[in-house]
Amino acid sequence: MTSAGKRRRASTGIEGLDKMLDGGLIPGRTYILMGDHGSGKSTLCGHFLMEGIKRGEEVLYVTIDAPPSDISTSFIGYGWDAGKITILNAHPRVRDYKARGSLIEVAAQRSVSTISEMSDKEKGNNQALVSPDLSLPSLQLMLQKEFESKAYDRLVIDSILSLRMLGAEEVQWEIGINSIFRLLAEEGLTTIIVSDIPKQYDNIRPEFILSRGIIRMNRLVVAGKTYRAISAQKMRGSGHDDQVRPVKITSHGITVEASKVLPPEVVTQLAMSFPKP
Amino acid sequence: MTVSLGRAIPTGNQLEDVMSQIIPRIATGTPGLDKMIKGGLLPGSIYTIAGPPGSGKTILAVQFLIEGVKRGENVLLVALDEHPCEMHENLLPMFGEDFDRILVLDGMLEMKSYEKTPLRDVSITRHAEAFGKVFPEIPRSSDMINPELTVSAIQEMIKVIVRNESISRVVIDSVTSLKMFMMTANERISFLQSFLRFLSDLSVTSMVTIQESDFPTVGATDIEYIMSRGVIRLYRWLQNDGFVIGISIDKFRGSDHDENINRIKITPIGLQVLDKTRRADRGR
Repeated sequence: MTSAGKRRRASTGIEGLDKMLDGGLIPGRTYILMGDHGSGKSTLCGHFLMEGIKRGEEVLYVTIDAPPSDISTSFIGYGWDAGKITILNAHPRVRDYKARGSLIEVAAQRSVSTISEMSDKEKGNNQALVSPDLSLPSLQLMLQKEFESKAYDRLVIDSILSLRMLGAEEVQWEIGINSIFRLLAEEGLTTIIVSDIPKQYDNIRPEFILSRGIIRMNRLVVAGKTYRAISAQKMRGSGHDDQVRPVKITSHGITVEASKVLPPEVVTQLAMSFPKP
Repeated sequence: MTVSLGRAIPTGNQLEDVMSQIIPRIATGTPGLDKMIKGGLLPGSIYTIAGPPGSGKTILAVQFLIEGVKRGENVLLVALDEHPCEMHENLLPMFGEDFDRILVLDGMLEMKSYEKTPLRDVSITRHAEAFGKVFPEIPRSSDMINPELTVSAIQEMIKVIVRNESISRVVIDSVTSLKMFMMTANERISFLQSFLRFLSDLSVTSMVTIQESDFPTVGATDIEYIMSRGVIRLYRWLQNDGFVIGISIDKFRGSDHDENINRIKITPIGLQVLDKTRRADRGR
């Protein structure tokens, strides 16, 4: 690759994945991580954030689909000092969860509210009674507030699945995604947004169009054996591995075996999602 | 119906066949593609480049502009998916200084403030500039006078640029973003139709990219397919030796064309259609 090697990269914290991505993610850009349930998405995000901490960066984990306690339990289980990860809890039942362990809970002071109530809040109204509304605009406002208080280097939004399902009309979703991607680009954060894998014949989603790269994780069972796999689908401004690589779960997280390939029968099954025309 | 006038008058397809032999073709700038379309694009028409993420749509469209630059033409890229400063960072290594001579219009929408702001004409804050002069950072939404960018504003800006700069080649990357972020669901068909009509009235040769999912509905009846003179489709599929990409000509009015899906390759110096015979040899 001509210049790719010279360009500064943000390591994902997973050696094999960095190798697949020609060194890592390009700093300041927003990437989509799509994957099956149990394929290792949140663990990958954990590696990415812990790598930031190792480098003295500020990192933020926005948890939407899982309560922070679940995340912290699994991260601590890998032996990670996850206490330095700031968690913004945007879980729909935000008030049902209390700060646990050593995780810093931003959401304790910042519950989500609707747009109209946001402006009320600015007028000084008490918003404690407001029922949490989960939407892209409210997520954007939460992030904007958080960015005012601290300059972050790395961000994970895990995941946008329930936002999509609970969300308003498609047009509102499209505009909301456009706006949040713009915010993240202007802030210069290296971001991973977690998503599900779209169904066959789904229309292209705006988040896939605007993402600077798409990483895909799969979990599949072939002949009674479970396999996990990872591939890079699009990487703007970077060369990348065009193979699907095996992912292994260890006691310290996940590893990507960048010089190994999956058994042919596993690739054949994965290929059903990418059929030859 | 037959009309006998004593001599043969070419009609319909015949006329197009005759025309295609007379009209000079426009080189696409992608090695191997001109051969697939028997010489090049027909001038003054719209061509659609459709494909899933990561299949090389933007690179193929940019190569079309680079080819124009190499021939001393003025060319315009309307950036709707990716900010010009990032495109510059991504593609300068691939195309070198020719890339800096492409005029680019930043059509990216800014952040939504979720507050009502008075509408003002956005065209006073936006203008096309050469890639070589693009500021290396994404401008802050708050620095802009007004975040409202509309299709008609973009259309107006393209019109002025094409006229003032004598533009001969235009790329819209992507028309999917234009549709998705600037048109409401019920006005999409009519707005897109009028946008594409506007584009063909400019008498420039243009490429518009379409973002598709991994499972596109082939044989689409979407307005962009109907209104373009040719549809170039990119594919990405998985086989035992990894992901590969391919290209086909789905439609090419006015000329004969290759009916096969050919493999393509993206290298550090660009995208090229692989030679079929060489590929067959390697397969043995």
